[in-house]
Amino acid sequence: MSILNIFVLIFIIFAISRVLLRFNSKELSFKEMFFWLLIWSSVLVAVIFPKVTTDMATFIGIGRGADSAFFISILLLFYLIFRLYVKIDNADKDITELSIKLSKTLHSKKNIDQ
Amino acid sequence: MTENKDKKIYILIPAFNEESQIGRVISSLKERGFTNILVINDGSRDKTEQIAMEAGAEVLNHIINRGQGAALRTGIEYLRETATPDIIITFDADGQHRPEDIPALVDPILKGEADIVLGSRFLKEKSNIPPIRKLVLKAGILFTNFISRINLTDTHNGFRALGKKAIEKIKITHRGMEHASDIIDEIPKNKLRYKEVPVEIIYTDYSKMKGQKTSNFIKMGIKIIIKKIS
Repeated sequence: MSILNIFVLIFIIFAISRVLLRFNSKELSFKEMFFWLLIWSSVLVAVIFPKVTTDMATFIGIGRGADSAFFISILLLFYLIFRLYVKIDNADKDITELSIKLSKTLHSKKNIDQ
Repeated sequence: MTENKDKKIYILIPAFNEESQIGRVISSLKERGFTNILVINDGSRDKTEQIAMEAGAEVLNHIINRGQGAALRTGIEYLRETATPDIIITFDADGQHRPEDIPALVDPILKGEADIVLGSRFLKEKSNIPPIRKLVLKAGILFTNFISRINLTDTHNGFRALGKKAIEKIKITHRGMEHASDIIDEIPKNKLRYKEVPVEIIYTDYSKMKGQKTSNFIKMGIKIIIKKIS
């Protein structure tokens, strides 16, 4: 096992512990925890048994193991960006709702005070 | 114009940093006899609120700028909850619209012929629209008509009159300028009767600077498509 592999392993263990801790403190839902555990454990498997990526590459129809890892990473990144987009959009909508409600509440309060 | 003394007509003006025009706009409306004026000050950092209040309008404030769609939503919801309006006129704060056009706009609603009346700058024989803007607007009209499956001559005109049914039914979902397409989408969805009447838009250097930048129309189109597919 190379030094790089050891570093990656330590990082994955750290990432998995973060996922479990965040699930424990209810910052992540069960579904989200499951999703992240699946991602990190598949990376873990790929690091410990690199041959798996080659098998998978052949199965999907991509030549080398490293290529299939890149391919899957890019798909995953697209998915995460989409999720971020949805989250930001939702936060933006919430801010608009708040502004609208607040403007009406402050106005009626002002009317009562007068 | 049909008699309208017993009808409650409200003028709704969304405003963002309009201190130089808002006072004059409100006074010109009052001169024409429109006294129910509601300004939604959309997070302005200038004296828009103070000037609008001094001119005699009721003012609601957004703490931060949220866009014209959000401002119209605030105004329509507020009036719906507090005033039982018969007609709401949406009017620009930058002096682009002429109060003289309001009677023609409310007439079809007063006669019971329409639930919503949209001002169109393309129905006038003589129009003073700058050529590039005209081209972009025409493209926007084709796009909106295609998306909403409705036939209009001017889709991004902020000068409209909403009757009781439209006030009750119309839901604005976009907070920015794309709200114009929301309103049009709502017409066939809620089976609203609509009519277009010619209005004149006054293009000054100020209104062109304050209004939509031509390049923004592309951004708006993309936002509308994303909303449709998501």
